[in-house]
Amino acid sequence: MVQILIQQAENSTELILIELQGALEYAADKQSLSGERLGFLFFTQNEMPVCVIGQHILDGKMVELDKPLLVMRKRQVDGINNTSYQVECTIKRKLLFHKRSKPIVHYAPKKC
Amino acid sequence: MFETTSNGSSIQIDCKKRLFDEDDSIEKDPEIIEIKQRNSVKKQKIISTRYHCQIPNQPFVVLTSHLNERYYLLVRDDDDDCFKFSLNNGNKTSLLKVSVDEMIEKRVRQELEELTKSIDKQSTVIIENEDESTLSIVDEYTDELWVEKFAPRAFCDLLSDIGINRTLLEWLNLWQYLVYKRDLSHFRTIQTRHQQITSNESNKDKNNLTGIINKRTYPSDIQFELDAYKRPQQKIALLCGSPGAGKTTLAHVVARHAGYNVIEMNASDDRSIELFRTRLETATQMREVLSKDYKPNCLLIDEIDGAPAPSIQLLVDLITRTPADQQQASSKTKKNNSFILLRPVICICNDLYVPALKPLRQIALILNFPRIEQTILAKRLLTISEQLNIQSDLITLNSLCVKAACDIRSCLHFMQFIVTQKDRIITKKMIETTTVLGVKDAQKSLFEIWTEILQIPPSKKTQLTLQLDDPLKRSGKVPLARRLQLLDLVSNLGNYDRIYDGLFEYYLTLHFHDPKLTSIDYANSWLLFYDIINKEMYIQQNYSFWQYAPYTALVFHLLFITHRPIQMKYPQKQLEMLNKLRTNTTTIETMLNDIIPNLRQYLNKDIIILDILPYMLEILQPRLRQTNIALFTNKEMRDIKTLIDVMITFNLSYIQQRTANGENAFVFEPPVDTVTYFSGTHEKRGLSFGTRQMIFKELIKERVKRNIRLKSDKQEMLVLVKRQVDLTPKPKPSHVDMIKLQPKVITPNGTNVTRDFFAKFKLGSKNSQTTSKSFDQIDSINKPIERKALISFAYNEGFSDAIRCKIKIQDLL
Repeated sequence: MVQILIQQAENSTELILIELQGALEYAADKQSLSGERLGFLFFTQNEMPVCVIGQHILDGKMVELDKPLLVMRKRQVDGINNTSYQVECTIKRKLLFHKRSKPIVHYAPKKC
Repeated sequence: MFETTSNGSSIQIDCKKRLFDEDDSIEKDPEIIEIKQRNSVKKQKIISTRYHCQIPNQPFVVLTSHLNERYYLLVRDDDDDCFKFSLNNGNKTSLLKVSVDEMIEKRVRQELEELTKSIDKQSTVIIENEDESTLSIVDEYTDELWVEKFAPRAFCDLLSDIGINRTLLEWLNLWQYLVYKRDLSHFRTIQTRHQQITSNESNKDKNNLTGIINKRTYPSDIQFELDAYKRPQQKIALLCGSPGAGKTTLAHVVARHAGYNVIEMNASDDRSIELFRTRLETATQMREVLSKDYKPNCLLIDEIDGAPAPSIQLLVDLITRTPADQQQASSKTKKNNSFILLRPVICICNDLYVPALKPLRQIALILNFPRIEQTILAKRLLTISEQLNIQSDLITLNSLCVKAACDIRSCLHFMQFIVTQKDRIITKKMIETTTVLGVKDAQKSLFEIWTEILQIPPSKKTQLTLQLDDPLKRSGKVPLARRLQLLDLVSNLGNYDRIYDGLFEYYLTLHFHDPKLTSIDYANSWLLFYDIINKEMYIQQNYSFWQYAPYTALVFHLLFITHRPIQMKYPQKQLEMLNKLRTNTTTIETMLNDIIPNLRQYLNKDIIILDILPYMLEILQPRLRQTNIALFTNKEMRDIKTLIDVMITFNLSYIQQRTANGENAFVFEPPVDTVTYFSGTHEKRGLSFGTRQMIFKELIKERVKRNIRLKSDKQEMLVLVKRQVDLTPKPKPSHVDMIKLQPKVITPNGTNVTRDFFAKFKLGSKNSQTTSKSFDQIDSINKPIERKALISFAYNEGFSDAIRCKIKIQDLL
């Protein structure tokens, strides 16, 4: 067995996977979502994540991945033959929002 | 003659005889002396003189004689005694003590009494002479009923009509081919003979105008064919007639003559269904075990019109059942119902038209018994009375027959009763004054009553001369007794409605002389009278009017009585007309139902029938040529257009129906032409089939057009409404509405969100580039959340294939 040492580069941020059980809809005039704000992510006091997208609020939990994922960058130096992949980071945890999203209701003052 | 005045003025005296100078001279007059004496004999009073020469004290009256002398007459008081002294006991109109009628009557009575005394003496003389035979005769009288004793034993002793006797015998003989197993050759000869006779009779009848039943005919009612089991086609004989006509006797005699043993079943027996069946079966299937000579049974059912209807129905069913029916039935029922009629059945009834007998009437041989001939009956009674040594004569017995309505049973009973009570003589007086003579209770049928009312009885044909009479003055010609009898008859039946229905329906077919229609008018006014009292009786429950109901019948009797025989049928016109009225009313109502409201407010049934329909039908049936619609002239097109317009407005249409001939025809729907046109004028006025078909098509086209127009009008109206709605400014939504979930563009406020939903979790709220609008006017305490309307999240709901939802075709297209 060849052992490959994986070293985490310094100043690398840890990436956490966000898993949503749903689809993201966006306005038709936009073609892609790159660079757009998705929503808000908060952590409660119990360290439970809360995500707000649009009018929906999602509750979730932090889950360890069974098999961690590597985030790699492909580098092609000196032509085609010499390609390498540089590992940016590993993903070991994910935020799983498994519960149903709840709508956000505006507060209306109750007039008597 | 005196002429007296109350104030005492002068008076002329005519009568010289009454001139007297003094009071004394009055008394010299022999007449007045006689009167005075007579009066004085009767009463012991002194009559004061009437004439004075000087003015008296009492009230007076002055008289001046021709010699110019004055006399003073006293005025009598009303209660003066001398008024009461009259020659004839106060009767001022006649001179005799007793009226003449009374004297005659008295004299006649005396004579009669003398006569009867002498006769009685004679009869007692006779009886005294025959002492021995008296006892035996008395025994004879009380021993046995004469009805039984003198009942006919042989066929030729029968009193009823010979033709009917023979018919029944012939019918019974038809059974012998089954019962006695005789051959059929004899049967053929009888059949041919009958056919010859009936053909002769039918020839005779053509010439016979009066239509009186010829008593010597052989009625052709019998069907001589035998069925598969060698039974006659008519397995039951039904004898019907008035009581005492000899039906039961005939049946017994004939059955015995043909060699049958008669088993009788009467009204006094229990006639429930089970017992009926058992009796029937025993009678026809069992035999008399004890007697040496075997005689087949014949069942005789007496008084069958009183039997319950189910029993009669059972009888009919059992009789008409054939083995073919039985094979079709299941085996279970076979066991119970294996019954074939193998013996004759004779039924006797009084009233043929009882509803329970209807099934029997259709399959039975019907024999109508007329009443026994009066002369024959009288002769028979005479022979019987001679046998019994009773003194009587033919005239007396004739009157007895009349009184008993030719009922032989009641005649014999009467004779027996009278003779056992009194002496052996029957006089006319006995018959007239008897209360003993009982007639068997039999209601006269409707037809008989009509005959009584409208036809002169044959015996009185010569008495009533009606030709040149004023009908209203005829009442004197019809004797009072006859009138009363008629009233009794009619009121016994009681069914005045039916009687008058029949009379009203057929009285115009009678022959009567009435040039001014006075009789008809009078009769109708009496019918109206009956209607009124009937109605009042039912409304007020006051049944005292009931006694006046039969008088209308009497009026009809007097007005319309005729020599000719009448042909009356059961009245049906009333019911027919009522049904017709009902159908016409429903027709008009259906027509009224769907007329457009504009018109409907002015219309009711009467207006439609009387004013509108006759003329409308003229419009609806114009004269059109039978060509293609495209070839019509302008005028014709206009006619058609108005026609169709009218039909649509009044909700009329055509409908195709099969007529009685099997053809198709277009008929108005609803059938207003039957309502409007009198029968008979109808067929000429309609349009032809082709024209109607064309009109029908045009009608449908026009209707469809109108419907479309209506719909499009409706839609336009809706659109108009909608636009009006849109133009009005939208009302500002209320607070409640805000609870609904709607993605809204929220306007940004000048001040940043001081307290929003996620005040705790503020992360990057500064980066939010929300531009939001807001329509609400909510307080700043609870401000709306700033949201980016760019991205939204849709949770995976799962598959929605199996959820029912409404889809319109428009969505798919």
